[in-house]
Amino acid sequence: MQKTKLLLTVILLLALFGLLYKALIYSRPNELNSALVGSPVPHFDLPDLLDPQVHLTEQDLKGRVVLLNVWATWCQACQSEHAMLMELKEIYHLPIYSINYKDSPDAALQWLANQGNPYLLTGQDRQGNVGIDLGVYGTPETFIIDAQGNIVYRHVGAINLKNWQDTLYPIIQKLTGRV
Amino acid sequence: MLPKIVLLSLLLSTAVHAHDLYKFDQTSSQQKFDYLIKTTRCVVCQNQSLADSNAPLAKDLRDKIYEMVSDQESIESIQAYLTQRYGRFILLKPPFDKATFFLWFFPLIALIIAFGFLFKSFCSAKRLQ
Repeated sequence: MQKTKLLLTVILLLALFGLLYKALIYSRPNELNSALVGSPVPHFDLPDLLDPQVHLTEQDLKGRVVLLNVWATWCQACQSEHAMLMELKEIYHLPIYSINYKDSPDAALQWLANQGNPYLLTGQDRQGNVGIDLGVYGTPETFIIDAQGNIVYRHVGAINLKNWQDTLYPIIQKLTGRV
Repeated sequence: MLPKIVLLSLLLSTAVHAHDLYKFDQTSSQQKFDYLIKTTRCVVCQNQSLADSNAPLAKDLRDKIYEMVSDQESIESIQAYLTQRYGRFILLKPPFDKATFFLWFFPLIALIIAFGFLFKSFCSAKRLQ
């Protein structure tokens, strides 16, 4: 009787430690879940960076699977992500749209001229209003949007080879049916 | 030492008066706004409210809330707007519902179990006497 009690206590404690360990190592307190995942992209209308006569709206995102990347020239991680986005455009031929978030148009134009432009259209969100509407809390953020214009996945942080191959590309493959 | 204190008090005073920049016609709107920015988390600094934070995103969210309060939107609809975009984590005080039931009741349950054990050990101690 005494022995089983001891055993039970040890097992309970181990389970508790396991739970705490898991929370300590694997929890990502910086990651916020968005209830927007699964729902349509909220309405927005922004002038294009290259040609302000042209507007980027949520309607442009419909019709095929696209990426919507939120970036800024003041954002460090966007720098490291840019080469990856160029690769996605050139190797994977993915349609990528973007929102230039709280940035100066001159700096943004310079950035695209120097490093290449992976985007079909780039909406200028100078006040950050569309960013708030999309629940953006840090740049870069990338949304995967299906052909119906619904947000399927939100990626916070820079896209790199690892998260692309492990997470993002499998989602896109599933949506588009490409292998 | 003194300049440091002066500097600190200056910093604190700007933080405290951040909400004074937002003017309302009605005091009820002002109260609504104050309540919302005190109970909404600054998502990039985590344990500060929007009222306490100087982060750019906190300012943008304050502006957004100001705009929504000025449009006579209710506290519930503003909170719904925020949680839909940033998750329930943005509310500093978790609401009481199915998902948070255990969180709120766990202390009470733990207390009852502890009393149960205490009672049991008292009984067995008596028997030994």
